[in-house]
Amino acid sequence: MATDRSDPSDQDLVERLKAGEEAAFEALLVRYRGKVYRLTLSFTKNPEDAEEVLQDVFLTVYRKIVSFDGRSAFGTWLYRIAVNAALMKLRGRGPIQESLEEYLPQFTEDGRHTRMVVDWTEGAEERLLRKERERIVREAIEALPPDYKVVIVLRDLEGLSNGEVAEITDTSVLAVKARLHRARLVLRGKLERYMTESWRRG
Amino acid sequence: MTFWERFARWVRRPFRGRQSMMTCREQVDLLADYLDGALDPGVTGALEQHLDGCPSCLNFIKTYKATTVLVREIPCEEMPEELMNRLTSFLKEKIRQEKAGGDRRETQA
Repeated sequence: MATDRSDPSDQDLVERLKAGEEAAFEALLVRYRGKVYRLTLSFTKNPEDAEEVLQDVFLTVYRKIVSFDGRSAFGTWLYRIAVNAALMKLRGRGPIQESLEEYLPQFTEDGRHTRMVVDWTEGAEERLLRKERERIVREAIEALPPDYKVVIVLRDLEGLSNGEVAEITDTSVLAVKARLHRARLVLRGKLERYMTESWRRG
Repeated sequence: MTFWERFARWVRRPFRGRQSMMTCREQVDLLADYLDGALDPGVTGALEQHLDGCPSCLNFIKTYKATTVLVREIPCEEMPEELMNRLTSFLKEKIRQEKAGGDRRETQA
């Protein structure tokens, strides 16, 4: 396992893979499989689906590496493949999409909140165990429409920048920002529902 | 500095410029840019003035921020070792087949 270049850059590995060196593919696989796994699992909770997506993604990397021109970073390119593969898997599946309107803030004609907004963060840590909170947030993300899920997962879960997300999803930074805001509004509304319900249940 | 400390500082800052009435709806629309610090000072002032007198919007901001924090708190999931092994053998086998097959089939990305 020991090589004189113990930590080659992605670019090095890509060049070596293009030159037909299979060990370079393995190195990229080891470097990125965890990330792709996390990403796909955020999209589809079903482990079999996640496994199939993983297989597709890395097979596509192997097959398409010759056409990777290095204009974007390898990681960005890989994410794009992974997001597309995960979305493909989701297509026509998952829960029937519920209306999002009910999770968005409601306003009166003169632009005021229709009802008092409560601070459900108050005491949330005492009321809900950490594991329970994580489950609730995961479920709320899971139930988002795919477009919203992509931005939330890439920006907030993976910590990518607006620019990177725009590159991966092939849109503008402005579009990413608008979608992210809307996704957070929906997610906030869903969490409000869960949290206040858990309140009522005591 | 906590959100509340920062907020206390905002409201103590005298509001400069023309008094403008911002609605809750406008506050929500501007929220992302406000939290990014991307609004110009006049708009920021109007928004903060609105917050000063609107407990609902204050709670809205607080819960909007908390939403992102909650998402970020989700721990990374480790890939199970059996899955790693299955993935590696799947890919090795596929690559072996493709090399043996000579004409490599193209798949749509």
